[in-house]
Amino acid sequence: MQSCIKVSNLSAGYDGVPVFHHIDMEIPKGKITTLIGSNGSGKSTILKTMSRLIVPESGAVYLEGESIHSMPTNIVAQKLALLPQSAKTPTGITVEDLTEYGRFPYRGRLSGLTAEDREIIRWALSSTNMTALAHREMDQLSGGQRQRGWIAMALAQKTGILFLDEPTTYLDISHQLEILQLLRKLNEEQGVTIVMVLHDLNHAVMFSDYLIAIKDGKKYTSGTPEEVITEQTLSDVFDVEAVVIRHPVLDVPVCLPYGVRG
Amino acid sequence: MKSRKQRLSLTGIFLALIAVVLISVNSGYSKLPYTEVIKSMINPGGADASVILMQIRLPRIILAVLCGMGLSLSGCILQAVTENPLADPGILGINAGAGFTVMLFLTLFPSLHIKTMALQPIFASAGGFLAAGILYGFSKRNGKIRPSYLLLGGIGVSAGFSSIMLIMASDMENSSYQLVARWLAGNIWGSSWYQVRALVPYLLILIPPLLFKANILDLLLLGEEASLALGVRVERERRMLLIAAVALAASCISVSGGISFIGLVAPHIARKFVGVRHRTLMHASMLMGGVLLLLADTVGRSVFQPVEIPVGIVISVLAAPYFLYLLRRQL
Repeated sequence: MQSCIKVSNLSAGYDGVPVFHHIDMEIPKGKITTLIGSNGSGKSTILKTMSRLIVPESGAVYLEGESIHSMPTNIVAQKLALLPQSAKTPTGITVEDLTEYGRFPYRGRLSGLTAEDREIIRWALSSTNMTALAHREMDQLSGGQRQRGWIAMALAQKTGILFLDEPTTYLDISHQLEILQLLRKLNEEQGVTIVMVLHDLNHAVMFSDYLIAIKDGKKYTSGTPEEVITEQTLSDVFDVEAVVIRHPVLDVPVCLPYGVRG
Repeated sequence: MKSRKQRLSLTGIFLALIAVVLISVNSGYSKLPYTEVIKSMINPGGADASVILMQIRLPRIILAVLCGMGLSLSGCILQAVTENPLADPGILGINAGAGFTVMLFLTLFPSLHIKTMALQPIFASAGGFLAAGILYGFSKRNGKIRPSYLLLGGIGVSAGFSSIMLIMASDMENSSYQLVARWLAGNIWGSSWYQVRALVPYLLILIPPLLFKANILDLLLLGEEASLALGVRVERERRMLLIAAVALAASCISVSGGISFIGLVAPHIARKFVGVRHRTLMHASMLMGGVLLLLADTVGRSVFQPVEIPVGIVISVLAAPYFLYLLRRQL
């Protein structure tokens, strides 16, 4: 397994209150890795620290062997894109405007878009199936379309790595699957390494190559979905009693929780 | 296609500015035939150049346009930095801070009236920065500016300075009080080339670097984390932009007095014409601000003759309902 990000002894938190402690992990290159864990377990904070939004209290994150927190931020933005949950859609910008923002790490202060920029914007729009909506305003689109617009922006950054913090929140089930299938397609066709946080365990199983379970700010276990999704993990990490059965169509583990532990 | 529409809009606003200048040249107590205007323009030093035009109207017109531009650009930037479309130097308390120090100056050195004009910009700027400093300290939580606190804090700062000014006013000599009151109301009456010369260097230093920030201003509206992820050094950029916007507003109000709302209204109207991208929006806001402030001043000095209404009051009367309308649409 070739890794593109290495996390070593990482601890961080907000305002001096630690959220997670001494985490070691590796993100496999060209795969989809999903962080799972209950609310407040620290998985979003880990994602933000790994993408240099939060400065760690100890430890380091190595992107291609270099510590991400000491790299120039625009160079990181050329290698790693992140869609935070907090991203706001400004009033009045079009899908194309937003996609253009993804070119920011490459642009001079006042220089216009180069032919290459325009080519990449076109490519990002078509990869996310947004070409037809390019001139529509973001705030007039449905939740699923808007999320595809954000992914187009991240793609325009032309990074090998894409981080997403709960990309399916607030979407209905068909749009959730649409977004996850889009991510799977980008991973398979473009070789983009994807790291995300998901709440729905069954989606995490269906769309991930690798799972990392976080409990109380510590890594509980990691591995393939088959290895991680067990009744024991569900009980320990999520405090639920559940059975794990096989998916009748996809032949992957499916968890069916039936009660809170205790 | 889109940029063509934007260019057309910019040209349109520019033509409107020229039209308002032409109307303004000939509004007021004494009418000037346009032939005389043209003659004076061609040969400003000549014997038959109009004194009214060259020494009274023209500096006032230029000052109105420059202040409108500066205040509007400041508002446009503050709206992006605070992530709040209702931000404006007046609402954020910068006007009140500047008013406070000017008043302090007049109370401490009442005998210096003649020299007041020369020192007023410095005092006003100091007050503007004082207000911004308090605001910055207030909205800083754990080393980071929280944009949502900026507007609330600004209202508090503004109210605080205004009440101190009221207390000071109760103890003030009548003539000083009148001077301060007139300044606070926002007034470019009696302006001369002196004020124009005092203001222009500030504008030349502050405006061009801000125009280079168009891409960053666009990104700041995505929120802190999304801008960080795209490689914007958010904290640093916010601080620089805030300082520049305050300096810009303070230098304008130091010569124009406390004009509120123009920094709110002009960018909003400009957005309707050219959209939200800062590359064009900043230019359009400045032109629109020039149009609006000059129009307001022209109305103020010609509609209720021989009484002149201070331009700040005209703007507030016209813009306050618009502010309420925007607020209502936001909620």
